[in-house]
Amino acid sequence: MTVFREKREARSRELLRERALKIAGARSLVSLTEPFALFRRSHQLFGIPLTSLRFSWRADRMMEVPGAQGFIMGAVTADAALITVVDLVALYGLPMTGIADLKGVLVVESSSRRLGLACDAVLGAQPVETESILPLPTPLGAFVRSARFRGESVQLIEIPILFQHAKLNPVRSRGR
Amino acid sequence: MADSLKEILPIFLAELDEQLARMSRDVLVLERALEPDALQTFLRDAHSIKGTAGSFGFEEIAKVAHAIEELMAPVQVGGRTPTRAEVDKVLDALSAIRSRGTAIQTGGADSKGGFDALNQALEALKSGAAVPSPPLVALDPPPAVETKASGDTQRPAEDMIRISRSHLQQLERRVDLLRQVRGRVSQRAVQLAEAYRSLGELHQRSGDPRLRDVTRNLRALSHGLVEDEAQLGLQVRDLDDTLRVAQLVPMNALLESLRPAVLLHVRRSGKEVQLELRGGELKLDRRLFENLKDPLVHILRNAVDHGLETPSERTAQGKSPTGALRVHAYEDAETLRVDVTEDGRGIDLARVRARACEKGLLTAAEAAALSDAEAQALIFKPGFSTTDQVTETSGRGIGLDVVASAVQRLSGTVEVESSPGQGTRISLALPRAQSAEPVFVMELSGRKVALRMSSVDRMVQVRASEVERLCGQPTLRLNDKPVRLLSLAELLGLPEWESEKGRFAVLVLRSTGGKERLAVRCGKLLGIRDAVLRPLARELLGLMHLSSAADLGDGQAVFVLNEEHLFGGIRAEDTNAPPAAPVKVPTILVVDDTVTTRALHRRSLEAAGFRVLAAANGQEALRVMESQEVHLVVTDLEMPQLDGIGLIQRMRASARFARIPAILVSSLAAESRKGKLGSQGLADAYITKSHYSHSTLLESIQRLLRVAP
Repeated sequence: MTVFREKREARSRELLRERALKIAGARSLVSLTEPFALFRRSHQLFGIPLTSLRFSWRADRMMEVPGAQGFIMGAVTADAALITVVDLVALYGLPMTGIADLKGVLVVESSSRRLGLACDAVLGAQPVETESILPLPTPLGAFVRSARFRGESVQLIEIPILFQHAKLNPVRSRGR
Repeated sequence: MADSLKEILPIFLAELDEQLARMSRDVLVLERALEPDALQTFLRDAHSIKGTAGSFGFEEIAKVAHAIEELMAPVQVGGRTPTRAEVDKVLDALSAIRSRGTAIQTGGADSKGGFDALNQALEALKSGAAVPSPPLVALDPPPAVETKASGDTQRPAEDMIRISRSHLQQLERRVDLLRQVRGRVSQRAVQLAEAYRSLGELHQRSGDPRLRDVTRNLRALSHGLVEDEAQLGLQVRDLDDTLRVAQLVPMNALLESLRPAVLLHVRRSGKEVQLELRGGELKLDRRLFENLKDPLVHILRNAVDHGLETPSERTAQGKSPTGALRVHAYEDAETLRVDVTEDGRGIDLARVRARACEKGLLTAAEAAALSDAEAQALIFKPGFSTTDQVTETSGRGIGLDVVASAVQRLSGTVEVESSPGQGTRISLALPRAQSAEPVFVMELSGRKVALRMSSVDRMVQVRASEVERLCGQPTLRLNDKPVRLLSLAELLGLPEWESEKGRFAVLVLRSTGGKERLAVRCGKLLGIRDAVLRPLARELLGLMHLSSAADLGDGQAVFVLNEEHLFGGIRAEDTNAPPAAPVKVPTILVVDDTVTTRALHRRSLEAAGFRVLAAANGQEALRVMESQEVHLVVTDLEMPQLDGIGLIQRMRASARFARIPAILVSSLAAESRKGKLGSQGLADAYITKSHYSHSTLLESIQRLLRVAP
């Protein structure tokens, strides 16, 4: 038993030492985390870089888009422009679990283009440890990073790459 | 790029655009006569672009500007006018710089767009070879717009200030928010008035003196709120007007931007044309400025291709060998009018009628029954073209329908007049500024939608028994003429709304530029509202049945239905065409002889939402393209049977596939062939495997697939 305890303590010391070295080697503690706005949609946890977030909107002020595909939840008008609201779960074809309870819209921006993301609950701004961010690929394909947050998997959305999604860039045909 | 440079990048781009416009004009002046002032200005602008672009790190622009200087040096030294070939090269090079400038403007300083055109231009300038002809639309994107705070270009420089477009947009948004606040205050004033009236009635019934005092106070408050609301309304209107004036752009900038695009086309056509531009002294709204160039270029190129005759044909008819092409802009109180007139052969109405029958748009009897005006309006139909010859920009069945759509998006109308042997005039009428526009708001199963009043001919109440069936389609008889009846609820997949009295409202719509009528069965009409129309967000552009969103000013917005699509739907039904899918996801064809690479591309592109087809070599790719619609091709270079170059060459030689963008992805070993490809203008983008990343590929795909709304 003593041998095991000593081995465990030695391992703990080694881990602490490694961590201390990493912290000392980093320019600051801040660089070990990235700030994300975390939110849930259909029980799936998503994160968007805080720098991409512009504002949030109440879901009850959203208007329906007649004839739109399922991933388009609706649209809102804000700042003299029309902003489309999409459901990431439907867009990425993730399984819908439980009954979604749409509460709000997070409006994100990249290169002057804005998009609303439907969410059931907003967990607020949270630091995600850089080390927990997994390399590619992820269950959503090669364009989304994933990480662990408090033991739960979170899909980190790269906003400029989200805007390149083909379904968000449909062709407006000239004919009918 | 340093942050300090990034801050002034918009200024550089705005200045670049002005310099390019000036250089285009000057080089055309120099071709006619060696005017020293024009030459000095031209060389100064070239030199200035070279220096400024270099300091921003845009070496590729600097190199092209330098090559232009070199090309024009003999003109200065030799005291001669530049040759036509030299002028063409310069115009191509200026267009290429403009393309690169647009790419930087839309994609940021690190954007990679526009390099291909620049490299081609540079090689042509240096080698003396003729520049290949890339698509003219790509050569001449709409110019960046820099509005000036004052409308008068003649005022001294110290009276002028330069305001960035984003600042003006911010101001516009603030005014818009203020308009919404005013709408809400207005609603609250009405609610308060109702509250004090109710309280007054309560007081009269109860006789309670305390209620009398409260009622008086409420009435005073209500009156005060109404006055405040009126005052706020006046201020908002004033702000709106001031902002509108601040965003006016000289018409001349638009007209002059047409000249190089059209003259290049004229030269390639082998015709002789005198282009006259009138109305440059007018001012126009920035929104019109940004959206009018493409339709006008379409009309002008169409006039060159189909309207004007060759010099020999003209001479044989006793006309001057040089055709006259005129763009005349003028205005009245509310409308900007632009007439494009040419003195060519006129529209061959017999050919138009025959073509409409060949394409299944009309039966022979229907075609014969058309009036001349109705037959002329057919040229604005999608897919309509009377030419059998496919050129770079004409004869593909696209063109004037794009004009009609663009004009409709600007809430305008387009009309055509033509006389055989005398020529054709196409007239655009556009609202001068984006102001509130009346829309019919209706409700269908709890969902609100709107139709623009400008497209509504009249409203009628109809009983179900009045609906007839003509060729199996519901039809109404209006003024003894059968008019097809369409149900909006049916179109949107919603339950039909039934009024209590068994009657329903029908709006009779008229088509843009045509004489067609369409009866639309509406839901519950909620009334006519003034609304500012907002363009659809990019994600919604696939929804052809929608044209815009109407901001009603009180925080509410409703979608506006696309009237032209409603007419299109009827035409398609009449020709038994299958209905279009609401959203068209682009299809990418991946061509590679390696299974792993095909799988890699497929996985990446499908994850990004594209539909992906695959082929193992060029031959197989062509077979796939014959059988399925493909929007873009990503191909390897080295492949058995038919390699990437061969595939793209076959595509470019085919009328059907020539316009499909192609991206060549290859190994570094093949880099040496890139120059050859670039100079031939084959691939639209080239990605070396050593620089390959999903993002790079996606960026290229999105850039090439982008379709202007």
